[in-house]
Amino acid sequence: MKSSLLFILMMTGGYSFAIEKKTKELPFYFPEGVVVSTDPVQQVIENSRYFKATKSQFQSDRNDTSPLITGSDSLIIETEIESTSGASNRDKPTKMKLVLDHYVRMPNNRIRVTYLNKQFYITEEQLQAVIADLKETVITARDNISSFWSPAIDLAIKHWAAKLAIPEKELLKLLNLPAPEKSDITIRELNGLPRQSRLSDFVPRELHLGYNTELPGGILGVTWLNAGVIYYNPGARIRDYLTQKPMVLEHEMVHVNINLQELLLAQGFDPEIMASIPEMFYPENQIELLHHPYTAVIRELIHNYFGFDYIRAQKESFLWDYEGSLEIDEEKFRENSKRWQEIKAELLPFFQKKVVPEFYSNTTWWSAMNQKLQDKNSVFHIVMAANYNLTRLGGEKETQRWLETNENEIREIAERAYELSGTPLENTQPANNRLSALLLNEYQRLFTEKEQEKINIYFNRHPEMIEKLVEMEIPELIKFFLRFKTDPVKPEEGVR
Amino acid sequence: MKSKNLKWLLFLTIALSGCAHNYKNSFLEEARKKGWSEGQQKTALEHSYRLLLLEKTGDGDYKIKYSVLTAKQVREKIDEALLGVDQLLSYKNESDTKFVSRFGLRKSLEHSEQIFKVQRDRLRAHELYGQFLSLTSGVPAEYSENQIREKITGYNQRIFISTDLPKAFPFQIESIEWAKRRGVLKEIERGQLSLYRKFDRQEQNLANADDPNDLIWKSKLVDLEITNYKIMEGPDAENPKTNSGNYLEGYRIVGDKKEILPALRLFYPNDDNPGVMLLDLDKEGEAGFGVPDLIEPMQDNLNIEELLQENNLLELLFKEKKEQKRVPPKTKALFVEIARTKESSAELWETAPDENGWQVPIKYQNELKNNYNVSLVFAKPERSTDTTNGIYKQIKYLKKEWTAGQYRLPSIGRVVEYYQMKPLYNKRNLVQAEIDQLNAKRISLVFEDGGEDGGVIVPRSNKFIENLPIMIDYTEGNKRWRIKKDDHSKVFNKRKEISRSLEEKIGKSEEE
Repeated sequence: MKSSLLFILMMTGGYSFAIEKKTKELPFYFPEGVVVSTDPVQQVIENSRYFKATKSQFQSDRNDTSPLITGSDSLIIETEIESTSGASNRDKPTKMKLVLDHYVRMPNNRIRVTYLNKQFYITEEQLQAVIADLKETVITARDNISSFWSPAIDLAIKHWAAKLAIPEKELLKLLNLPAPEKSDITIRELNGLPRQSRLSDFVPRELHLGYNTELPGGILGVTWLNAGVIYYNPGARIRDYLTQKPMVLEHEMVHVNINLQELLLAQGFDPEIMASIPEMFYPENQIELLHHPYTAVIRELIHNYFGFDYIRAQKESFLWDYEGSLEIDEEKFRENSKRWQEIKAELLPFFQKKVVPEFYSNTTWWSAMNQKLQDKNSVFHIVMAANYNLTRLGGEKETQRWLETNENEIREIAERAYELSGTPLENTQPANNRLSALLLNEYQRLFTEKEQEKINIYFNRHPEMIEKLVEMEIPELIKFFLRFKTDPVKPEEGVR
Repeated sequence: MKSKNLKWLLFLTIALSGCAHNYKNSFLEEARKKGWSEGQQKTALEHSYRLLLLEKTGDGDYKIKYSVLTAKQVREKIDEALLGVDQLLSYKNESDTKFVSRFGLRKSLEHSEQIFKVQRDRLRAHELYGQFLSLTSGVPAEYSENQIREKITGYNQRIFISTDLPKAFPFQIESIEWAKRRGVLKEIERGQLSLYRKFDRQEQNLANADDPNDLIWKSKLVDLEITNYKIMEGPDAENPKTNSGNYLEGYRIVGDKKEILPALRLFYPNDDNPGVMLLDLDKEGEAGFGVPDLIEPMQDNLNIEELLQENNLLELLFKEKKEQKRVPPKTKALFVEIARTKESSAELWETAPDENGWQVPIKYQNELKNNYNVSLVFAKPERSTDTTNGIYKQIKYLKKEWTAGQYRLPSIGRVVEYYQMKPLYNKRNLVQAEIDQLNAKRISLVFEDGGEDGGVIVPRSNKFIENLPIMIDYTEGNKRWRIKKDDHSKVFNKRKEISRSLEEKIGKSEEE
């Protein structure tokens, strides 16, 4: 596990449109004319407008990733919001600190703010508006995310009790007992079960309103696991305003919660997709599930299980590309949105009641299964298979017929593939799971399946190249891997 | 995140993600070869999870078959997690160390490490139990492969719930237990092995981990009480057909106390099947005590005497666990010092702590004090004072190179004493100065005026050299030292560390 999972990225993606709506006074860093919209067309369009409009202010250019130093002179505001999210304050609650990176009170008492492309003064009122807005957003995000996750964690215990055929009350008593091997380890910890969820578990120790310059492109949020620190980009706040619910912050709050994504545990699954629950299923969210690279596996499952050919739907909604200015068929877009809403309405409770409890009731086993299948998302495939029938081949009936006809062959292929799965490729070192889930995810998103297969074949044939990669500098490394990038990035899959 | 780390992560991610067969890719590749459409391939893939990993319940629901993974597979995943946490905690990687330190994560990660270790040990016990059942015919013959996986080798969800491990993994054979209950399991052999060795081995002194020369003696104590039992009933009770036992157990004795559970067990339930040996390497009070750590089939039914001759049995049972200590690298305080050459007063020698001076801590001389060879160190001519243009030689020191009794075989510590020549022999007036090849104590000299001299450098006072050395080199541990007398000093009042490569000059004349 090289440097393990030190942080999680939240990449922006997709397009959004908005309906103009009068809102309260917004923080000064919002561009003019920002609105709230949950309309499927307008949210996507508006999102891309706001991103482009503010990119140079809040996002690093690829040619300039030089770091900034936050400085002890950046304003720090201690709030009343309790936090227990990190390793250091999990059992000793602290109050969340709000750090306004590069907001500096000058000797003349004025407040100076630095963007990535300019610097200027703001008023005291503007400062207070920023602080009030962030505090309110944190509380809203915390309450939203907890209302999904806390019952889901409670259900994990219920699930576990049911599997063990023990009454839940008895299990709860048992979980508090010390392990006979070591008295400072509880049976709960030994079983990898999360503790009972608290609101404060979702609140970071430190929330920075700031920039991550060494991550160029579309960074909205960054979280350091176990550390209790979230970096919330001003662009993310704007987006969270647009989408009505602060979904970027909710996403980061799942990451920051050590009860859900402890650093070492997170090596065994895909923390990005887990942190996208439930926000990707919110009816207000027109962006994530449809466009974001993180949710590709869910889109694929939707296609297979619910029959919705979203790729064709997106292609049909796309009219023309005027060299970077896209024209869409808004009517078709809205029509498809209804289908997405139906799917989300089904999956939101399903994930809360089945998927999350299943995973968290048996994290050790799921980590091992992910390892066996070499797929950090196996829980989604398996729990879907346990609860839904496939419909991709023209409806349930046709699909089930085809499956029944070909079941023997499918079983044989499956058994062979399963036997082989997880074993080292010929002439290579055994698979080492000590790698950043983040970058593995990014790799799987940057390259299509066909491209990944080409890469696998290449390294299988040229294992000596693995050693040579070590010596390459970044530009050379990128150039090397771009050779395998033959399939174009499609607009419907969002910004990569 | 610095670009260097990013490069490593990128490399590892991409390289290693291509290093193992991936279920989905393998499945789709084969499905493609069937000529199925993309939709059919992906539908088949999703369906395959149901076929492999789920079973239908009576009410039409599906439940997950956790036993499809073996305890071993889950344990291997934990092993990897342990490697990962060690990577973070080990101080070997600077950025990991910084991350852990900056956010105060060490304690929580160490706690996680302990959890993983306990999980691993339980899974290992689970694996061993499965092996035990297989070796002792504890698996019903009618079990199918699926049933074996389900009930024996497959991951058991209850594994981490148990608070009584010996009960969770009984490691018993019914025939032996049945015999115990009926009182027909009789003692047929008894033995005890006690061994105490005060100075058994040397190990690094952990209190001074930086100094590899700081070694301390560790003692060894082995105390094992073994009893061999046989099932004796019916007409064979007093006159059995064989004298071999059916069950043997050995208890460690620690202090004067016998541990409450046997550390060693051997089962030979009958003559038709090989036996099984179980070893519990954890001592009473340690995590894992009461659950075996090793299992081995035993072809031969050994008695106690034969068993104790097994090579590493005692070593395994009494091995002291080395406590893993992660020591942060010592960092010296930052400093600034400006050392101008003209003003330099850096003293390279270390002054002796008391009036006795430095001493060679090794006994290197024999009774007669004659276990040495000699060689010469010549003084390099100094241009400013040498009027001979370097034609003539001057002996700076005569070296006594102490041996272990054989010619040129260095003594313990590779001790070399340096003697100054007496005034008659310390001038730059030598045409030739050699050591006899056949008698390494004999010196022969030829002077500029043609005169010759020579003789044996005897242990006692002699005409060539001063009575006592002015300097001595010796090696202790990994370091080589030089102790020296200043002109006014009667003792070796200073010392410094010198390169071990100077050992190579033993036996050779040199110039300095």
